[in-house]
Amino acid sequence: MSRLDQEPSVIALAAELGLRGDPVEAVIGFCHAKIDRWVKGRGGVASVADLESLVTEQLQLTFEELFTDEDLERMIAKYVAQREPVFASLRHGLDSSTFGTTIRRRSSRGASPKDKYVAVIDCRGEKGARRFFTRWHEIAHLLVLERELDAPVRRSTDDPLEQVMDSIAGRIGFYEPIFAPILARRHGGALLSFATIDAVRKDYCDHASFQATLFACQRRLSTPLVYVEAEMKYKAEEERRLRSSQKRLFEDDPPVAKLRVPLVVPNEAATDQNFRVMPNMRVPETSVIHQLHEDASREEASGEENLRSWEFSDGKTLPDCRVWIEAKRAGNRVFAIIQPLN
Amino acid sequence: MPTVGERIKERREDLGWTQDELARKASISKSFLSDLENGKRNVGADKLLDIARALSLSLDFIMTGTNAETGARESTKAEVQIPKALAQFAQNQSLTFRETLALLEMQNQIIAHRSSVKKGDLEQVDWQKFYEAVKEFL
Repeated sequence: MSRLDQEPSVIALAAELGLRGDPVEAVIGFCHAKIDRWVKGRGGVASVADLESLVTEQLQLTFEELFTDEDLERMIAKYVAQREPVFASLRHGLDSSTFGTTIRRRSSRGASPKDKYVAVIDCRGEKGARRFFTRWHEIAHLLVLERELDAPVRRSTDDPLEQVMDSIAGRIGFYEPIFAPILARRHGGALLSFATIDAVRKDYCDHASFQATLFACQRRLSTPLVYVEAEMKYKAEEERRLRSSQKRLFEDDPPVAKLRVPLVVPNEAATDQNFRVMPNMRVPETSVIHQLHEDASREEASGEENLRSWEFSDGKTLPDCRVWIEAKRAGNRVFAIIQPLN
Repeated sequence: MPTVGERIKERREDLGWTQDELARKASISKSFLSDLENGKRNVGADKLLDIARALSLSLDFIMTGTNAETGARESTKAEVQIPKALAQFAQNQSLTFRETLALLEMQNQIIAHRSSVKKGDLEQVDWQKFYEAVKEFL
């Protein structure tokens, strides 16, 4: 059972839906079963666009995508004219940290069956890269609303529930019956490469992000793959002290941030085979990840190395294991996939 | 309007259960469940209660498609709980009760966000900003 499975809000959601077993998997299964039933009723879907169209129709959901500030003003004017002033609040509601929001229209005021719900997706600037995933995230919210949809519903957006929505979006947005055949066709069973992930992405949905597609591929891989994100960080203990009243202890000898991997996501095969990198471990200078981080002229790098060179602060190392690493720059971070070479 | 059998089937499929699983959990036979879902058989209250329990649904919902319990809850909600933060804001701005309710109603229309920072509940809404955005329509 995962940490998320133990969150009270997640347990409450599963209970509200009348589900038993591990809450996160049960909620995802619930959403999947609902969609499977709709797909079966339609006689199948050929593409993710068809799937999205079917799901939004069932949920009475319409998307509004905003690519410019003018789009936002046009959308506000459109809905205000339909006596939905709440849309005017999106001028400040869609702040720099908000990618999308879903609004329930006032049912008594002429909303059609097609747009009882309006999900506004902010695609302005860098948020555009998350467009695909945000659409499915908003769909996830509606999939778990219980059947009494006319009752006022306002979910708290605390982090654990949002993570569950992301899990649902990741699973149903990359719908198995459509996605799995594409991955099988593109991935020959050797190591997964960035080129393969991008080819899968283009075949599946060209506005899906590379990273979301990467996670969808990783999850389905039967061979071990660890995803890491590297950035300049302090050791956890240094971080704690810097934030605490003991900060003064560092005045003479301040800690130095080093390239570390705060985010490590193994797939199931990696966990099963104990193939792992520890979160927040320092990235050795010899690693392609470190080299890419230091070389601003490159966007990607790849190479073979041995995990033995990854050292803990007590001098111990990861086990002797030759690996293939592909890394990509994303702002100040580098993300990478690590796979063992047999 | 869906029948009792259709509601049972829909809920069973939502849960990803086979007829075998539901029949076992509700202590009824699979053939009975199949007939019931297909509208070929009537069902007594005792068995319906077993099925409702297994599906974590109320008897009201299985029988009518509406939920008396939820209805009761909603009528209590008609008393309207105004969040403290909104009440304070409304007082400072000298808003009428009708304007305050309109603000709350609009805020309740926003049912989900996807955000990289944690957004609070109704007590943490920036009512000032929200009011500024929609005041001309109140």
